[in-house]
Amino acid sequence: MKDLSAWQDYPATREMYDTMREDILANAQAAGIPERKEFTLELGIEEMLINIITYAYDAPGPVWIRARREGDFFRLDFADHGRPFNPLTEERCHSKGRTVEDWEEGGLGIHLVRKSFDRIAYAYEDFQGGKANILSLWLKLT
Amino acid sequence: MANEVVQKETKWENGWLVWSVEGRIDISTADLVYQSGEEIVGREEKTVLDMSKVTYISSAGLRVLLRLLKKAKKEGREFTVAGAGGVVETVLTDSNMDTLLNMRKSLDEL
Repeated sequence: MKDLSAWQDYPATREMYDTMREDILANAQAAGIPERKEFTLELGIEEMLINIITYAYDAPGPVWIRARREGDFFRLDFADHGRPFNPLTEERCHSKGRTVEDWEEGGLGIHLVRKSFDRIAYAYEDFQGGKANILSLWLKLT
Repeated sequence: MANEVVQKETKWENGWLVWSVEGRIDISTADLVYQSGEEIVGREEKTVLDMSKVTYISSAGLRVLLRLLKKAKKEGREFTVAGAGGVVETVLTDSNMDTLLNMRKSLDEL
């Protein structure tokens, strides 16, 4: 298990996705995440990492990950040097009453994460020698 | 991906073609599931995806369902889902896709 209590960097590529996912899950299990919370955690991992892998860079770049217990929460942080993007400001057409033709495919992932995590925060700031998108998710352990 | 396998089979029930998927519908399996669903929805008048054995679904999976529903509507066919439970059902309701898909609790409701 790679210790993610401090930031670790990975190539933000589809080939590395499984490794990143497994490292985060191992750290979560070591932190005592209950089994009933693992689905939510997996959802956050997939939605955030796949977005970074798919959209952050034109050419391959790094993603930094930190995953650790923070009081009663498990905190997951992602950082990348890709184009500035705040997923929390995304508004898509996923509301009831809309016809199927009006529904947009994009934005479903962040919508699910916002519904299921206890707290989410975004910052665009200096990190590891450049401006970075930093997204943090908190999931209550109890 | 996490060594999960999508399995599918078909049978008829109450005039609906039942397409069953077992396992995860996520970034690794979504394309495969869509390919199967596209073929089935494209030839059947009424298709129901039996989700009773789906253990995980992410937005990649939801996009598959949305695309299949759009395809069905465009072609004058029907597509719905049934049997989703637990956290999978929660994802469908949190995303409001339960209403969009006219989700059934079970195949008995068809």
